[in-house]
Parts: sequence; C-alpha cells; structure tokens
Amino acid sequence: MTGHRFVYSVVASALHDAHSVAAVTASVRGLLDELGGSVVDIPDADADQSACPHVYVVATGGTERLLLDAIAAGSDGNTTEPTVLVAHRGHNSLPAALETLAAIQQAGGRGRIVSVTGDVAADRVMLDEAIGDLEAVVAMRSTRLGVIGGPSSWLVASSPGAEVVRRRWGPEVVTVSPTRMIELTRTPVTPTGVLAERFTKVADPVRSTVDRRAVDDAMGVRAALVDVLDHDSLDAVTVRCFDLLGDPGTSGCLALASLNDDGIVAGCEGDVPSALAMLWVRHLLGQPTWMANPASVDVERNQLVLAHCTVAPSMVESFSLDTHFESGMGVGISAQFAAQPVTLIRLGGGDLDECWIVEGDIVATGDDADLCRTQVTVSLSSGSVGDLLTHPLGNHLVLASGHHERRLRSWWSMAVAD
Amino acid sequence: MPWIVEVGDDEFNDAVDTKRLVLVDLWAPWCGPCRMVAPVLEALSKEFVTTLKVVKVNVDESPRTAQRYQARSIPMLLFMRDGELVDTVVGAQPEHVLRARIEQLS
Repeated sequence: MTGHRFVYSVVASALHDAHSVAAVTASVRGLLDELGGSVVDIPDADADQSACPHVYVVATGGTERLLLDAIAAGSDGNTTEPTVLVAHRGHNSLPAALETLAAIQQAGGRGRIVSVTGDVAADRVMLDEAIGDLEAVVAMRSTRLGVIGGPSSWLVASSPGAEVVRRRWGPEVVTVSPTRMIELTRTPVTPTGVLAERFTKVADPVRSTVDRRAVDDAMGVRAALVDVLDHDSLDAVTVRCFDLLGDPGTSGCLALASLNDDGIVAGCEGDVPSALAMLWVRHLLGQPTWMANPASVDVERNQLVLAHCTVAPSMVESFSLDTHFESGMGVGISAQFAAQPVTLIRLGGGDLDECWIVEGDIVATGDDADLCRTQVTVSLSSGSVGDLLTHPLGNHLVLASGHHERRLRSWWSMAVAD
Repeated sequence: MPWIVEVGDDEFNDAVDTKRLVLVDLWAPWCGPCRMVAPVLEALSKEFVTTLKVVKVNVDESPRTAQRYQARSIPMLLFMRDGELVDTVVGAQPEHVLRARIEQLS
C-alpha cells in the first residue's frame, strides 16, 4: 500500500445502513481523500500501515468498542502511538468519540478528536494539521539520532538517557565514537572545495576574517559527518564539536550549518534535548532551526540576547565568516537575521517531560566581540524571559522562524505530555 | 521640514548638541532590524517636526560613537538632549512604543 500520506477507516454501528453512513461521512471522506488519505477496512493487517498514520472517522454513535478494538489491532500493541478520531455533527459521532478517547487515555494511551464543523475550508485546515501531527510522530519514532562523541562535559542537565528519549519523544539515540569523524576530517576522502564555495561565494568578503584554507578544513568536518551518517545509518546528529578544536584543529560550525540547510538536523555539543527540539520543528513544520546560547536576559523589557557560532544560511539575510568564538580557531558564522517573528523552544526535565515555548520577534542584531559570532535580540510577546532565571531547563534554546507556539503545544499535548 | 541627518564620528557631538529632543539611530546596512526601524523613525520625524531631531550613525563607519555608547546590538536608539544621554532603547521597537517615549521625553 503506497502512494498515500495516511490511511483512514470509517467506523459505524451495525444499526446504521451503509448508504446512510456513506451519506453522512461523504464530506469528511472527500476531504481525507483530498489530503492524501486512503480508506482501509478495520482492522487491516497490511504491514505497511505501521509506518503510516491511521485516522479513524467516527461515523455514528455506538462505535466505542469497535473503535477500541480496531485501534488496538492497528497499533499492534503500541499504546504510545496517538490516535486521531474524526467526529462530525450528526448521528452521535462526537459523543462516541469523546467516550472512546477517554477510554484510550484512561488506559495510558494518547490521542485527539478533530470535530469537523461543515465549514470545508476550516475542516481541511484542522484535518491537515492533525494528520501532519501524526506524520511528525511517525517521523520522530523512525529517527536515529547519533550523539557523536557523547554529550559535552558541561551539559550536566542536558544528557538524558536513550531510554527516556525513545519512550517520551520517539527517536532512537545512539552514541557514536568520534574516531571515524576525526580521521576522515583529518584526511578527507571527499574534495571539500565545492562544499566550501557554498559559503565563500555568499559570505560578505569585507567582514570575513578567515582564509579559504580554513574554510576548506572546516568543510572537511561536513564530508566526514556525511560519511558517518551513512556508515551508522543515522538520520540526525549532535556532535561533541569542541573536541574537534584539538584534533584535527578546526570547528564544526560550518559543517553543522550546511547539514541543517540540507534537511539533516545537526546540533552542537552533543546536546540531546536541543537536537530533539530541532528534530521536532523539522518533522512538524519542515524548517531548519537555530540552536543558541541565551547570552543575557532583560527581565524588565522581556528580551534576551541569543548567540552561537553556527546557523543555517537559509535562515539569515547575510553572513560573514569569522573564527569560532571561544577558541579563535576554525570557522564560525557571523550572520544577520531579518527582523521577524520567531518561536523559542527548550525541552528538559529529568524525564524530558517539560518544555518552554515562547513567541517573540527579532528586534536587533549584535556584533559584540565578547559573544559567539551570530547574535540576535529577541523581544518576547508570550511567556516571560524571567522563567529562564527561576526555572531553567538547561543552557541552549532553539529558535524557529515564525510563530508556532499553538501548533507546538498542541502536538506536545497529544504526543508527549502526561 | 523633518530634521534627519546622517553623521559620522567627527560630527556627532555637534549634531546632538541641541535643545530639541534628539533620537540617535545607531545602525548598519547589514542589520535587518535596522532596516525595519528606519521608516518608523522617518515617520516620527515628520510627526514631531518641531520638537524632534533624528541623527543616524552608521556604526561600521563610526566605530568611536558605537564604542562610546557600547552598541553591542543594533539598532540602538539613544534619546539625547543638550548632548546628554537621557534614555536608551535596544532593538526595533513598534512605532507606538517609540511615539510614547518621545512624548514622555519631549
């Protein structure tokens, strides 16, 4: 079963004849087909379904047990997979959906009801979003995240166990020895010239301070990481990148930036919660993110300054190439973001069951010699920057372009929160 | 006529030495938020045509002024009177916020 985005089943009580069920669900089925769905009977033993979101249309009342049985069969015992139930306005569909979801949640399961209204445009948006949420769950669960070299030693609150990540968020976390990456960076098997030109041709030549040789060396890390991704069947990485400064003597900033632009989530310092937040945005919203340090906060103005030495070039207006801040070695990116709405995300807690999500706007760009090279000031429009001082979840924050708090919280409630 | 001038390090002191309220815009061509605030300042200079002077300083070309006011993030807006600093705002603020600040300081 291929070529579709998701599958759906229409569940009706035996009291209702097929013609009546078809009539009452015609609009919903039409929308689901339009959104890339393929109707299947329940339960369906087709093995392909496990990798594909499954939506249940609650056609009539009296379907509660049918639904629970079908969901149990479809999930193959995996109770962490969220269920989306679609209810409509007639035939006691919504009451049945409410009772069913309550039972699912009482049993420790997850899910959400999409209650369509008959407004086709609004219904399409709601259904598309719900299906996108399920796709993100499936994508997270199928991701292998490599922690190359393990978490950096200073990430004392940001090094959750692989079991916690798998259970709570879905990705499989594997710790990968840095040896292969270091050796391949030292003696690249792939020419780095073309890769380096991705940066040297676009960087501001006036403000850039590093030479071409340094850029070539830094892009050797990218070539090495691509090899490691392939060798270890990884989908994403977070790299204990400071170790590269000693041997082979360059920084990972350019490599991580270019991978993020190519759709491969690549985080710094072996920080797993940040890499998870980056994966979350990538799978749910399809966009790259920027991982950065909060360098300072202004509680009165509800602003904070973020800074880091790597950023995906597609996220910024312009950039120049400088050394990596702390070491003065390798190549860092000093980029200028456009003034724009943004969302900041931080995951944390011992069980990765806490999140800090706020919205704001980039209102200034920085050029402070005492900070990591790319610097922005974000003025928050939701939440309080003071939270970071009283209840920090860790160091790094992840910035995504646009305002996405509602969508992220909705997904969080369905897929992660207790 | 709205009073907007573009000055460098050497002309800065003279430019801000006035009884009017002066709004100094520390900016750079590569700064996205600076481009966003520029038309706002232009509009405010027209609105407060008799009471406000806007002084624009390109920090790349005027590093001494940038250093003097520790402009680590731009746009940085300085409110000055008689050559003295009376308030500072970092970042591209909405027009109504800047208007309120000008009215308060005028």
